[in-house]
Amino acid sequence: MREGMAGAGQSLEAPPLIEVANVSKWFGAHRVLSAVSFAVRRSEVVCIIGPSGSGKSTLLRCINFLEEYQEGDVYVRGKLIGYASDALGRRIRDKERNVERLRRDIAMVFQQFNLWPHMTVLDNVAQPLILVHRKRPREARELARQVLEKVGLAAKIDEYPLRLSGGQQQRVGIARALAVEPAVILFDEPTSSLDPELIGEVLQVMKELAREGMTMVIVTHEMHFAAEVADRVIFLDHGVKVEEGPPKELFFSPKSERTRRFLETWVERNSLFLDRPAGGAQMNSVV
Amino acid sequence: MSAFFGTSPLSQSVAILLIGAGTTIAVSLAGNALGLLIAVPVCFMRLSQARAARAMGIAYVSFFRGVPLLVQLLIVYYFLPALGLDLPPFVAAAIGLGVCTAAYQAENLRGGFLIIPKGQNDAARAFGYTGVQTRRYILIPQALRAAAPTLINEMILILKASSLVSVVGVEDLMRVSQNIVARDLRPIRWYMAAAVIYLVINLALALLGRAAERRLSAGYARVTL
Amino acid sequence: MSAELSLITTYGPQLLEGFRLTVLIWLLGSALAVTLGFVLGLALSAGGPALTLPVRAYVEFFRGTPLLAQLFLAYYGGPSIGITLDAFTVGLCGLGLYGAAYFAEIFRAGFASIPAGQLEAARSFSLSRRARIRYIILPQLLVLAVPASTNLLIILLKDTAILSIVTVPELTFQVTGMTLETFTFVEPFAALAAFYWALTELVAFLGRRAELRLGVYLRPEMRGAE
Repeated sequence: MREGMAGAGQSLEAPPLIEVANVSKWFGAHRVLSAVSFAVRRSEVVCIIGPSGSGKSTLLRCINFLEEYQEGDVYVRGKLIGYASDALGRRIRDKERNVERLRRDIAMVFQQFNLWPHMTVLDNVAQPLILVHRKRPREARELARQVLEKVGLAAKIDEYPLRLSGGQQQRVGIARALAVEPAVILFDEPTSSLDPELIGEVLQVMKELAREGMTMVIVTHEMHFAAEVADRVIFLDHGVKVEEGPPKELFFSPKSERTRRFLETWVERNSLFLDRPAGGAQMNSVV
Repeated sequence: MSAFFGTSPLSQSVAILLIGAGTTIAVSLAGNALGLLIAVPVCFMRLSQARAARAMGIAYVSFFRGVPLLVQLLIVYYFLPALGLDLPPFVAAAIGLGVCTAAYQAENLRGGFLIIPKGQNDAARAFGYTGVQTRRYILIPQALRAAAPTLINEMILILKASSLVSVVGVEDLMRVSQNIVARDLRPIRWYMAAAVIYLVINLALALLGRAAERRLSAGYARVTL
Repeated sequence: MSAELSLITTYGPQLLEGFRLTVLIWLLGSALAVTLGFVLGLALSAGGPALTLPVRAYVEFFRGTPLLAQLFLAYYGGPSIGITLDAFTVGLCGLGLYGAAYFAEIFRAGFASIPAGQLEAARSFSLSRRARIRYIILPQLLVLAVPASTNLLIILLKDTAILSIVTVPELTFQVTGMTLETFTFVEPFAALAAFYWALTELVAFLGRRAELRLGVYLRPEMRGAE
């Protein structure tokens, strides 16, 4: 599926880029996440699927510590993010400075795009390079230009974000994530806010990234995309990791009844499509 | 009416009046600038997660909006020398105005901040921005734009309120017209003239405000998400 | 400390009188402002150009110029055209005319925001003019205007201090006089400030209560069967 992928051999040597270990989060009696664990290795594409309210986005946001949690650990490149031990060995919030440093290796693409409307497209992409990655403005803008060209928005660099279509805005969001050359990109339901006809252009860019070996963790409802692009799919339900495995397994021979039930409508409607040659299939999933 | 500008003492008085108007504008601008400088941290305190900071922010706004400006000016006028600071009346007045208007501007800014979608903060944090960077490059520029109309409105209010600095020894438009009346004994003419000058300046400010609002929103459409 | 206490006993009566006058002039001035403002607001919304033009000129003048300038005009300018009034009356009328311009705007906006459909419905039911005003317009106007009005009332309360400059013997005038005689400035003015603070907070609190009570019918959960 992707170039240069060494397969199982590679994953045994390289330590995981992201490791989520037994993360739990709750609000009073409501359990948002229950002891969720998984790992992401270099160049892997991991998709997290599940019903609304299952905690998928929360889980994703725990990775770059946009969400705090009560139990468990998240490791980014082997380093614990968000928490540290105080002198007595108790768990405390880590210094903001340390969290910021670790966040430099992770980029995020948001459902609502979250572009900064008072800056041009170019500046949206270039500013993190200047402020966080300490690049010189001219260099940063040049890098930004290149990345924007890569996602097909070279013509829009001097526009303001709110003038663009949803699909274009999200591509800017992806460009912004790409530009900082992260170790991994987190995607939080990147196409859920888009009109159907705009979803395709974004998924196209994401597929290209996957093909080039970018490590990606994607929360999505686009089952087609997950089935086609993911190395592994994680099914989350009510904060519990129900099942994890390669898409073929999860979609067509799931181990858990819950997984089967969640996916059965989609599988019914789409199993035929997966055998069709490329170009004929509708890219939008309707689960 | 032709006699109005004819004789020399009269045109002299008009000149003095205009200089007084200049002082009024100057002290208002100074107060406005100082007010904005103070308003930003006060606003952040008001919006802070820490209860103590939030309480202080609320108290500041409550106090400086709850006490008449005249009383505040009198306190500043008498209090500063007690602290050993011998400042010229203009400076003391600017400080008094600034500290007062900061309370109103903080509230205006707060409205501006509350409009910013939370996701923008998330994006900044996700990319490793420090708190200071987020505030400086993402939040404050947008809050200022959003609050611009109300801030300009505040400027108009400051200008009118500045008439009180005449009481604490500043040679502003009011004080200057009082001086002229003391010599000239034509109160209606000169106080009316002063009033009209205030009106004209306010009109100019209102027009400026509208133009500024148009420029600031250029290309930056209202968020409809 | 005993020096401060003796101050209070010496000046007590004057300060009390000043307080009484502050409240009196505030209430009377506000009453004048609301009444006149209502009429003007009505004129602005419902009147023809012959009416709206002079009213608009009035509103722009009194909102665009400082209260102090208006007071000076009345107090010092009045005598030269034969109108010599005492300080209290000048203060009262000054505050009232000034406040009326602001209330006029509030009421005008209030009138404008009543959905036209309601007025049409009322007319179609042949409700008399008076009934229309009383049962449809007034209640909604009240609810819409209350927040802005409480704000304005607080502003008018604070502006009573300005009246001291034209020798109206309200509270600030009394305290200023006291400080000039006793040469203590900071404590009396600080106390004066604290006093106004408490007073305005009280009025703000009452205003919020009023808003809640009056706004009841606007809140969905309070409506009956919907």
